[in-house]
Amino acid sequence: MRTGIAVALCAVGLFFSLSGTVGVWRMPDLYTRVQAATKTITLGALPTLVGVVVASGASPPYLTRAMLVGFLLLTLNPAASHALVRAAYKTGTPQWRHAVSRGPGEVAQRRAES
Amino acid sequence: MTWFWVLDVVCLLWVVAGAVLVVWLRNLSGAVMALSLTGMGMTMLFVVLGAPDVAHAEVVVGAIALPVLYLVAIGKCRTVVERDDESTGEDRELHGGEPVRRRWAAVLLSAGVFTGLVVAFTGLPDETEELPAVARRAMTGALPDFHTTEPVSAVVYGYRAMDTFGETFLLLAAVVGVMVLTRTREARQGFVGEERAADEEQEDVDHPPRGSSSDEARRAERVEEGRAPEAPETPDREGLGAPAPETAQAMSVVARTAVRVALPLLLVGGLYLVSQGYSPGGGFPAGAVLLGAVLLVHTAFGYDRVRAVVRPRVLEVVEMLGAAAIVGVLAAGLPLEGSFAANWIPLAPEQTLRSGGMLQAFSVSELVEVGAGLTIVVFSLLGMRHDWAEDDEDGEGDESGEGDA
Repeated sequence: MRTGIAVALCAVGLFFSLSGTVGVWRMPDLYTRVQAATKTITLGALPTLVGVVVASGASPPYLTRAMLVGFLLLTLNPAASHALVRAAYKTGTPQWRHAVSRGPGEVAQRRAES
Repeated sequence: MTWFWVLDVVCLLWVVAGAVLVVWLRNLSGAVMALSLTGMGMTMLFVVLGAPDVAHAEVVVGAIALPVLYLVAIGKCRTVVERDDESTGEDRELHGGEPVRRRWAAVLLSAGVFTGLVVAFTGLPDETEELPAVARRAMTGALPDFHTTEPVSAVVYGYRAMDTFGETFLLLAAVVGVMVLTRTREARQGFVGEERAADEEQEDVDHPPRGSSSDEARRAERVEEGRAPEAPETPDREGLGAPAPETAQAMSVVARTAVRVALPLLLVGGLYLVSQGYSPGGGFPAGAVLLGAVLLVHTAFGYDRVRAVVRPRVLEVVEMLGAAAIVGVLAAGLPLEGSFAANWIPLAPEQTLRSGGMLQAFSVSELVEVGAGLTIVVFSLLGMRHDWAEDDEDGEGDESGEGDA
């Protein structure tokens, strides 16, 4: 039973990691790729961590370490992605040609016009 | 458990792929990122092979510090590059640029290296074989000799303490070398104060008076670089779509909050590595982790916030104290136990904080030495400035510039 749950959780994590990888591969520009990459952490790594805890029976060494890793991932991963995309946006990394919004400066310009 | 070789091979392929990317990518920043990828692969490999203490050091040094150093170096050397629109076709650059002869030589050399690596890999002992005598000695001796359950610590800080001693002082020599090379703005120190002798008379001549403190020099430098002298501390007040460059040193509120939350955890983790000497870890990985924490703060909050901590005068003293502590710990074995690096501290019961005896003292001193030393290296390079004059048309340096500063 416990093994089954653990395997299912790990399979969920693996699926989302794989789909995130496919997303990085297939998405058209940097912004959408980063968006796909962040998913591998939240939906890919966290279920796997929970699966590890379930499989090892919530013994203190595994539980605390998994919680520590999960906490660090949940804090640092969004921040790192944010910094990456922010820097890319500010320096004018090109967007997909069908993107709704455009490069830096235009938002401020549009706001000034309205 | 017999399927662990799959993880082995995956990590090895990862490392190879990263290394190939480093060579293949033409974008320097991209190549550095690939280098970081290689370091990450090495880290995973060490974890899979069951060497978490090496992995700790590798993740900070190989995946973070080394790429940061390369990025700093690239940033310092980069000048205005004219975009060459002709050669943007990557294919042409990759396949058309080099002579065929050289490509064949490269293929031959690569094949040779690859064969050698494959032979070495197949020759590795597998886990069913009997351990070599040295390994057995370390495994069986760690507990009775040092009361530690971590044979790696027993080897690094105990049996082969002399080697670690040598390595540490090699690091110290490297740190001193970097410090000497990067310190360009140091005031000349005279023996009898001759460098200040004519200051008063000089001030009568100079209008406005020359600033002598490094702060004033830095401010003048900022103005020269075209940055606002009074840059905002954080970029949070900037408009949403404002283009680069940002004048603020710190990063946005998201990154700052995340670092603020994660930093205590990282610091505790680093100190745990050294304090729990009976589990994988030790002074070197812990020192590297501390460097990572300082770098994180520097990235998120800017140089001004860490300047109080990474002041060279403080760090140099701390590093020398660490080195002196190492020498003291090791040399104390000579009169007390009869040999250099012999264990002279009474052994506490195993699995306690003091269980390693001399190992723990050595490890803590190593933490101080390595942490301070690596921080000095990184921040010396970060603080390095252009110290040469730009070439003018004839290729002659501008004599009146600050090249002779």
